[in-house]
Amino acid sequence: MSEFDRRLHHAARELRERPVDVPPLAALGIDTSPRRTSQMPAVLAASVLVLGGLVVFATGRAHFDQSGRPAEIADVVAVAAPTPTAADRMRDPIVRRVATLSPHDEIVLVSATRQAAVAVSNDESRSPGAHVQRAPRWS
Amino acid sequence: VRVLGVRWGGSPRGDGFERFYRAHYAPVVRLAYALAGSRPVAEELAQEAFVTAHARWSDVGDFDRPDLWVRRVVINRSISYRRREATERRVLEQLHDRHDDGVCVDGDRGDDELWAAMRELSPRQAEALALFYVEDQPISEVARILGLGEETVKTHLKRGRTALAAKLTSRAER
Repeated sequence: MSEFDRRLHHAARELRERPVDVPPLAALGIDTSPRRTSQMPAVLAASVLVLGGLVVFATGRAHFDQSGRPAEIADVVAVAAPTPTAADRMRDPIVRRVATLSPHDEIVLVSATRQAAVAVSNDESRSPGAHVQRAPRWS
Repeated sequence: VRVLGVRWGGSPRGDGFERFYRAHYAPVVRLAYALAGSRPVAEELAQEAFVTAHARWSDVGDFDRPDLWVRRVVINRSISYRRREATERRVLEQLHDRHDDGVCVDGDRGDDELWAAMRELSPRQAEALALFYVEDQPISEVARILGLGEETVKTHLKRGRTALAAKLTSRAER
């Protein structure tokens, strides 16, 4: 090995052995805290919320549609409304309001209204000229 | 684990990157020093390279050898710095009629004359010498980092050694 080669190897070894302090990543402006790095991406979180909302909404709709309540409510409204025109006007808003109730509240309300409607119907069926042409479907 | 393009389980920018950083920071600083010639500058260049690696860690972390990638980045930055610094030095010499032998004195011990002479070689020769001697990398790894064939690396090493020896002899005779 020549003098030059020895010098080159020695200088390289000296440089390799020179201590180098490793600064913390924060000093480089790099944040690797678990809170930040394991956070669910915002877009994905929003997607989960939207999908969850859709599932809840669809379940609620399915429950409402399968309950047959709109038809029952229409009959109640037909009995309770003073005229057929008023019944047509009132029916849809009432159906929409009932749809916002919880299943338990809905059952209580429809049950109470049904009883009231039956009572009204019975009274009116005994009165000549009653505007209700058909009896409620429930019995 | 990747689901919907998002990596779950473990933190891609957390433990994995920190281990990588701690394992390779010091040798990357030394490599930058051999090429750039100043300890503070070498640390700055190395830190920039690691910040770049962190920003692209979702890709770089999947590389077979991310350590080779970060060395390539720091070599490119060191060479760019050297060119910039050489231009600035020439301008300063013209302005102040100043003589500067190119040795960067920043408090480091060691054979500064040799490293200063090495930085006067062509970039390829200096890169090959720094990786082979300072990093103690085998020829095959030097070739991978520089994107060259092994025979080409051997040629750069041979010519670089010859040129470096000539420069040191010339300096000694001044």
